[in-house]
Amino acid sequence: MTGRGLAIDRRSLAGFAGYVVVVCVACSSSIRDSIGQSAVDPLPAVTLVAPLATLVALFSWRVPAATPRVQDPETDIILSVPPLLLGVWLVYWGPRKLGDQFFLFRPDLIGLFLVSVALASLLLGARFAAGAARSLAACALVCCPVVQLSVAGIDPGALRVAAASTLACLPLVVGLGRSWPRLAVLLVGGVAAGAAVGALAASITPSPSAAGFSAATTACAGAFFVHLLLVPSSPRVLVPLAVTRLRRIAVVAVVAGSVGLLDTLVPALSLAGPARPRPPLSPRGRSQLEIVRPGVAVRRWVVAMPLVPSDHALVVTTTGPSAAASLTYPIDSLLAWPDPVCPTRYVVRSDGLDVAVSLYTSAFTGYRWEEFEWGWSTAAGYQRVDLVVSSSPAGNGLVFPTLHPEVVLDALRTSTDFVANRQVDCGVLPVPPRETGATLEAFLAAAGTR
Amino acid sequence: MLGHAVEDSPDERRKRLIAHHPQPAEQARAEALDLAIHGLERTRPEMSARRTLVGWQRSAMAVTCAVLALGFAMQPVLTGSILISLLVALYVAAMVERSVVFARGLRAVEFLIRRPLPPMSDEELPRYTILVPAYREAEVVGHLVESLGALDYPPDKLEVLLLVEEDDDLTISALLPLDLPSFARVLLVPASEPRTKPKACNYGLHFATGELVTIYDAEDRPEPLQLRRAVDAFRRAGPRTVCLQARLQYYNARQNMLTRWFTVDYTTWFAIFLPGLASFGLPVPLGGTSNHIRAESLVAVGGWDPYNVTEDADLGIRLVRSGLRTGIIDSVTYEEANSDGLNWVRQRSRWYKGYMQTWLVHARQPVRMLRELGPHGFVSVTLLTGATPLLSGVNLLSWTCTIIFIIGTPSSLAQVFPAPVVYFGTAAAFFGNATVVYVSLIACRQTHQGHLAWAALTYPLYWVLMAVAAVKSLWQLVARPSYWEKTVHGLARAGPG
Repeated sequence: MTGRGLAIDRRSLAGFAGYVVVVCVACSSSIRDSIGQSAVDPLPAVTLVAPLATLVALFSWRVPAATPRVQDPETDIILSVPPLLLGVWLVYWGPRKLGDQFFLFRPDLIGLFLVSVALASLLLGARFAAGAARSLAACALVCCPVVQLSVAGIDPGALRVAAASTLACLPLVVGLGRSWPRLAVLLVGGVAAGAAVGALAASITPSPSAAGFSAATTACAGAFFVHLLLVPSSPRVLVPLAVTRLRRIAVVAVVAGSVGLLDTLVPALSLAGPARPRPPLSPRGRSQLEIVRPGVAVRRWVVAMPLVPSDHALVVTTTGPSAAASLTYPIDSLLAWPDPVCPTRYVVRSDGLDVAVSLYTSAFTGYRWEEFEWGWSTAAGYQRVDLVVSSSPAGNGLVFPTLHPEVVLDALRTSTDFVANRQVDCGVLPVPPRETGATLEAFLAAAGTR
Repeated sequence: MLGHAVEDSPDERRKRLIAHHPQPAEQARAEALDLAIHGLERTRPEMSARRTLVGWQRSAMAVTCAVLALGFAMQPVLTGSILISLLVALYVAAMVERSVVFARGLRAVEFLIRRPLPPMSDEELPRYTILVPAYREAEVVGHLVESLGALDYPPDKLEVLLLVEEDDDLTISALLPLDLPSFARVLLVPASEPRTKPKACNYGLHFATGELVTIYDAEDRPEPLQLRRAVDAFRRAGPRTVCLQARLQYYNARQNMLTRWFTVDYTTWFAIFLPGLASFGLPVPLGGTSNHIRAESLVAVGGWDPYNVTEDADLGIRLVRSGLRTGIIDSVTYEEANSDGLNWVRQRSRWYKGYMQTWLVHARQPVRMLRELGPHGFVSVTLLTGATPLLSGVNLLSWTCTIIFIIGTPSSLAQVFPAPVVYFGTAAAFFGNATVVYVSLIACRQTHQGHLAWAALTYPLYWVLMAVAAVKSLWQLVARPSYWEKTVHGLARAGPG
């Protein structure tokens, strides 16, 4: 390589390093949330491995040999504007639109992907952005809890470990698949080997999940190192960085700073929790089901309480170390209503809590359910509470929604609910019925959490 | 080693080329260059794109911008509604116009079914000049010898002028080892601004000796009988037909998805749409190459506009405004489809910028334009050259609005879409997009390119690139109106052959 080539490479390296720093600044909050959740996500370690795989894919990207050195600064800017605006809009809009389901779908990760592509186009050119888009999109997808939930339900465990390993390496495989076909094959082989080791570990250790994921992570990391060892042996140019793009650094800094500020506000916008910690709700009466997964406990029980219009209520609590961990679990879809019903929704504020209320009425049987949802910080972590009060026509017994622990189906159902809810909500009540507040206050008093 | 380096300097290489291809005298060169750059501006200043906007156009644009700004400041919903309604109306008008021309083109194609070429002796053939502008075409200039050698035309009646910028060392170096045919010579165009293809062509036209003139790009592969077919068509056509456009097609259509879409685009345009326009007697925006023109008429209308970056489209309109006609011949020239996204955007943005330049030039005297082109011609030129880039650019905005509308249903967006506009726009979007896809499918079927059916069905994805190119062209029209975005050639996996 000539001295000039080296100089170009150094600039490219500097530009690439700058790009990584800028993206990390712009999306620091989302990245921090992801890393914080990695211990309790449905697939531990995947959320950590996937960004690493993305970084390696970006680092190893190069212009295919047959591609002309056509660069076009005007196109770079034009292509960066729509994803940037869309990404910012998603970060801003996501929490408002999704409410407490925000942490299930994590639209900020899609926003992160779009902002990263926009910044790549601005800093390193549209050609690099187009090449990087696959890896970045795969990373956003892999880190999304609703996708991981689908895989987390796979049984047996060995298959789940294999799927998780492949998922974790997806950004690397799709990113290098075309430009480095032999390495992509090597990586897939490495992942398969890791999955096999993981499956073996899962079958012989008392903690199969942790052992499996550890083995898979190690295998993925090994594949990265093999890749890193092989890449320098061939002539390469990291990124064909034009010097003129460095002049855009002021614009990029402003953009990244603004996005970062907005991103920092995401958790604050999306969570409606009380200011002071409360004692956690504990099971009373007949506990009907208990689901425990790493870091999160879901419990369902029916309590007898002096509530209007019924003297019984169904309570489902989801308790985890953080709001993100608790809200990731798709409890909404786990509650299966006896009849297909169309809810009316409203929000009440009671004792410092913002409570979302959904009113379900069955036109066929006359049953009526009120579902109260809220979240609060407790000594045991963050707890999400779903309270269902049922009333029935005279003479009929009470019917509560059932809880189905079918994670894959539930994740899919939640996704479709999310899409469909915009259409099937029967309406939003601006002023809640008076008895709603009374029911809630009675419950909180009886539960001893006031 | 030093001697070799000196011998290989750009200056030496140019001298060696001149030794093989003697250049005209300096005075003749200077005169030709002056005419190439300023000829049209002097004879028909109103037709020159040297100035993008004339006085009243600048005032009209300023007033429009001011009214819009004021409207958005005081009555944003009403202004947005009016603007969106106008855009929807423009979409519908463009859709109807294209459908009508396409339907006519389908019928016109039936008349283009290849007729057997009548026997013509070499003596009765006119002298033909082929202009080959080549700027930084080192990758493809080697194919030129092969293509020229394949042409079926008597060498003593053929003149090929290779137009190379005198400071284009890459192309000069690539030409030096080539054994060019006896009828081909290299003309070195003096280095000057604007560095555009029409300027080079005007320079070549000054030295052309042919009765008929055509242009080929360096990577073109014309059908061997094309020149004879053009001569035959000129004889059969009336005296007013002074220009014939051959069909352009790509030889690397299967290289990737972009080349497939581009081929569908070209097929629809050249195989169906242009015959439709010609059949109506409307102005035909000529393709960049393979347009065969009577040299005398070309000189009479002022040649190509060196400041217009789609000088071919401009020339097609200028011919009709001068009372002349353009026909279509059923002969194919194979070109290289742009296979790289960025390269494609640059090329398409130049075309869009040129279209807008062309419309702005011809609309300087709208009443005269209406009189010379007739109402249908006026509308056709406006929708084809003026509205196409605008609507392609607005597409980005409308898609974004649609996505936001579906996902977020914000009330503010709903306010600027009054119910009639929503229904009309939705119908236009649905039928318009479906029509374009359907038309593309028919064009592929008509030209026996069934393998492009998938590309035709996914054609709307191609419009995203078009939208990017349109935005870029709008920006460049303001910032660098006469800047020629050079398209890189030689990217096809299999070159012409």
